Amino acid sequence: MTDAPGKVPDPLAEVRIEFAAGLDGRVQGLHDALQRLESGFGAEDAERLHRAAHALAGTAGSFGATRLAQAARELEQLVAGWRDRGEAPPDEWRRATATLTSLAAAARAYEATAPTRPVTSAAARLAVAGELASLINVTNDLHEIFQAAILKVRRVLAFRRASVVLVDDTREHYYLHTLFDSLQDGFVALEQRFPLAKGLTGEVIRTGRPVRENAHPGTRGIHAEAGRRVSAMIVPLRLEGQVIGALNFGHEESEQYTAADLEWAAVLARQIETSLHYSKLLTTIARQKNQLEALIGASDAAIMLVGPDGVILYANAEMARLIGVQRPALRSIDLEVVHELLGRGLTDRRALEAQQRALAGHEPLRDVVEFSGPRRAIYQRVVAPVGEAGGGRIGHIVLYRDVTLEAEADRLKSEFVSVVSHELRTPMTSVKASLGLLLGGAAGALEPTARELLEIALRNADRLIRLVNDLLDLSRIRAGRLDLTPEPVALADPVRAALETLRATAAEQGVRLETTPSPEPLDVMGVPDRLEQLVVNLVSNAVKFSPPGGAVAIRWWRDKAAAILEVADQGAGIPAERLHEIFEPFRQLDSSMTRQHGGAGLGLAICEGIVQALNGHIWAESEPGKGARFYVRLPLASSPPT
Amino acid sequence: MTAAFRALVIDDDPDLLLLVRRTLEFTAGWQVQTAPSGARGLELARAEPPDVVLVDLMMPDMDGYEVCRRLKADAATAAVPVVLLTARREVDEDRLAGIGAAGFVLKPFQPQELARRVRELTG
Repeated sequence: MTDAPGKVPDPLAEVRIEFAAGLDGRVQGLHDALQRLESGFGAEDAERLHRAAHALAGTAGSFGATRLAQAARELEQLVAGWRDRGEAPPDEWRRATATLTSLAAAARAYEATAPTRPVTSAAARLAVAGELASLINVTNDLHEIFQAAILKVRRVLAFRRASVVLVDDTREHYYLHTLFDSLQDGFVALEQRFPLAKGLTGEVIRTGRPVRENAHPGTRGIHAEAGRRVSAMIVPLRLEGQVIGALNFGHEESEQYTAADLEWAAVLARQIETSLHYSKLLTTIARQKNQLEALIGASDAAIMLVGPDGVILYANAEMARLIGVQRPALRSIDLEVVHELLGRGLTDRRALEAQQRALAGHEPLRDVVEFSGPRRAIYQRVVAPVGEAGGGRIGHIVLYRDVTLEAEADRLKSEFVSVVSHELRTPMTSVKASLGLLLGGAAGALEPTARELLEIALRNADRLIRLVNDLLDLSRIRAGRLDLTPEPVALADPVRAALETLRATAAEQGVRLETTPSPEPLDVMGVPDRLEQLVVNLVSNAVKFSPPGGAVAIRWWRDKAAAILEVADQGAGIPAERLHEIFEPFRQLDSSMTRQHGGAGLGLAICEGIVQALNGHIWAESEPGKGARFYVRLPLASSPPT
Repeated sequence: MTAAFRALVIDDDPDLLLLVRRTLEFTAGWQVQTAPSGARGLELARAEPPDVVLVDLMMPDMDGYEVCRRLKADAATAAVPVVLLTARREVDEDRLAGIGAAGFVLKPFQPQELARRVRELTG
């Protein structure tokens, strides 16, 4: 075997010559990619270097350039390892550099034995087109790609000027992105815009049709001389269906370009379009990545992304500050260490266990945690699984947002409501007691009109007291101070007590209350008064929204280690998009309903607060027109015997 | 003969309806009819147009604005002055004028003041 091309007549001679001529560029490409990897590992660079080395190993092997192929294969194997492991260790990088040096030497040796006459055969041109394809693998820089392309084309096509022109953003002008001028033997920068409305190039861009002119009047670029005729060949460049520029060749002489030349120029244009496509794609991805990182970086929340294996994939500056380490160090820190550092600041270290559980599972965690150091603060915490669009798992996002000020404002508001409510209760009690005494005959017998007016006053005093009580409950719930001590309660008792209270109101509205008790007695963990309040709120809500003659069904049964209570009405129902907000305070569906159905819309918010304080769960189901069903799930007092 | 001044009161709160009625009867000696909804109020007004209509602004189904608009659109009741009762401090007076209302009275009102204020508004 020899590295020199064969001396016997060879049908692939011209392709070999092309291969030899293109070697310098390929070696340079490998060199550049390797340099980039030294300054920092990039998966794209490794992938590109791997592809380029692989392609070179294959081609060199098939041309009998054994030494060259061997060096390329060595390089390919090294880079494959980097690509898979996601790093390029310094010792291996040095080995790769040495391999590239011997590869370059082998390439020079091969070139020295190959003749370098200019060739214009179809095979040679095909080889140039192929080289352009591998060039795209090595770099995304458009100038680099276009310049390399023009230099390669120069070996197989005669021209005075060759250029890639692109349309500018206004789509009224085009400019010379890359221009090669043979007379100056190099690339020329020309900061000039040309109107699309004029000239041959403008016409090609406007119409999208390639042009070959063999007797064109000279232009300013090429021989603007009276009577002189020149040759031109211009092919449009398309991106996503739109003409965005042109590939342009000009010759000082007339009758230079054949139909075959034009066909080949069209093939070149396709390769350039591909490079434009990838360049645009990569630019877009890079821009989106930058925008996203800027967004997360600017957030006042501490955010990190934890991979399935516990590796920290990303953390913003705020997260580094919260944990108390330098940001670059975060990428190499173990999750256990992060948790250890976070735990030092937490008032209750047990808050970490919930985070560890959430990171190991699929259930999102959303709660509030308190830090006592380095400064006292309250954070809202979210740990949520993150998936790819295709369903693959990326890991978990962990977010901490400082809500100290909000929490303080909320506490003050609750305290205010609490104080005001207490202050209101005292005078209301006197009003109610006086009215009750008057109605009871304490000041003598009453005229019917007097009785009627006093009854109105008493009814509305009661309404006001209920509202004040509800506000008080709600402020306790919001402040997390409902402080219930659950004990075993037979669920049937508070339900019966509640229905007793409501029977008269329901009858007044012509609504039937139908109960279906559990076949077995159920003891839940609860507080009798609060359970009764819960049932009163749910059932009076159902009665309020029932049509006259309708029924409210109250059922309860056992479901594993819990009891479920259902309250179903035959009212208008709740639209699906509103179901999630009905437990928020002051959220009756229509402000006019507040008047129609009484109450200020606090009942369900209080229900939710009670159920949550009892470690239960409350939810609603409804289809408009088919009524609403409210469910409460409460843990049973003791697990049933098995 | 001089018939008593006749008022029609429309409100969805039964307690308030009764109180307004007693107030107007007791303080001004008016003859008062009541309706628990806008629809019922329109029926009564058409059957026998009163001297004034007092209507609550916030009611389900048909609110006070709508009741006023319909009264003004009906030739039989167009001449009856309409006064709106509202618990809201923010009242769109332009809108009231636009539908031909005589004015509004804020809740809560002093019983002794109500009839006087309605007379002021209706001229």
